[in-house]
Amino acid sequence: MAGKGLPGILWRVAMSLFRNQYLLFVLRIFLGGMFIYAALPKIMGPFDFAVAVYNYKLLPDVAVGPVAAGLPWLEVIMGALLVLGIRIRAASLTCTGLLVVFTLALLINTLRGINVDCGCFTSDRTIGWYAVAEDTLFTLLALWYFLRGENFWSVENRIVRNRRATT
Amino acid sequence: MITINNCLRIQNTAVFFNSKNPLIKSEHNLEIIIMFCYVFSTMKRNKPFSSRTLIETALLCCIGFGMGLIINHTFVSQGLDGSLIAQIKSRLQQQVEEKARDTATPDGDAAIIIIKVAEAKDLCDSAQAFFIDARPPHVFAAGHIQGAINITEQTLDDNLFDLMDRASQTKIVLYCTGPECPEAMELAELIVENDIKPVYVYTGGWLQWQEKGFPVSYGESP
Repeated sequence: MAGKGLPGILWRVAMSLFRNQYLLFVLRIFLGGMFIYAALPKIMGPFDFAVAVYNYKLLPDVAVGPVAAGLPWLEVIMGALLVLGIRIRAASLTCTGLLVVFTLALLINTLRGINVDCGCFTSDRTIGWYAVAEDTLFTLLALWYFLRGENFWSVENRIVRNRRATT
Repeated sequence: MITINNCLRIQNTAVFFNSKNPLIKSEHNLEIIIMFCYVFSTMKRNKPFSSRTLIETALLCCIGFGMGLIINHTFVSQGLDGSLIAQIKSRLQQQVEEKARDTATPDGDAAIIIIKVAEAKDLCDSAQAFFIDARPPHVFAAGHIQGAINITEQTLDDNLFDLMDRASQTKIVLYCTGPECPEAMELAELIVENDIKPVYVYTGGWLQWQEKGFPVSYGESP
């Protein structure tokens, strides 16, 4: 449906990949796993995360503590819901929202030229266009997953099907 | 304007390709429009923003965030009464000082000396020092300490001789955004490697200087 030649072929291939339920399943596990992996160190050491949040210079001083305490837990719970496949719609919308917020924070500080520790995965990474591009990509993937709303191989699906089979 | 509905209706028809619509000038435009149509049609079919989803999302956020707040309640109360910020600031200052100590020469002379805002102001007022802004040029142009020049890691080599010349007469003070930015410290290490020492680093940086209302100037580096 999208023209002729190489661009058309690439478009069709990309679209069929994006509609593939197995790949969307992998994407879901990846996004959920990534959030859990990134949030666990923050839960272990909330003070280090608070330093990272403070360094971003986006929040008022009073908000730094509560955000550093609450955000990692939200990430872990949301990641677990995504990986297990429970209330996927809500979890993927939360995921998209968080990623949009992170991307904006990175973008603002990259433009301001504040070259701080990015607090993404490992502690020695700093902010830059590379981090912004990476986060934008994740945001688009999460948004796409949310719009598709696949629930292939999910715990919730399994439970609902079992309940239907028994009644 | 093509409305979404219109777009969906004509999406798969040949009429679309022969359209006289000025929006569709080239195949490139066409593909972008089709991409939007595709996203919209997916949204229309799946209804992602149902009220149920939104309520569940809000609940998920409240539960997740609330759980974190309850589990870390001591941490949160520290954050609210301001003692957390003080701890963070002292940690950042400590990190910078440790770094400076690492650069000391074997006979004990510090190569990088950390100075506070009062000393920086004195040096600036008495014209005993000249200030180097280690931030990127576009940030420098948006505002800097009065009389400062802009040198980054990339432009250090071009300015090295000038710097050596000045170092023999006055003190060199480096700064960047604040205590948490790495540029001033990294540049100081590079300068020290070139045998210009001691170098002073003003850790409060641009943010503190501006906050105190000390003299600033704008525009690009001369």
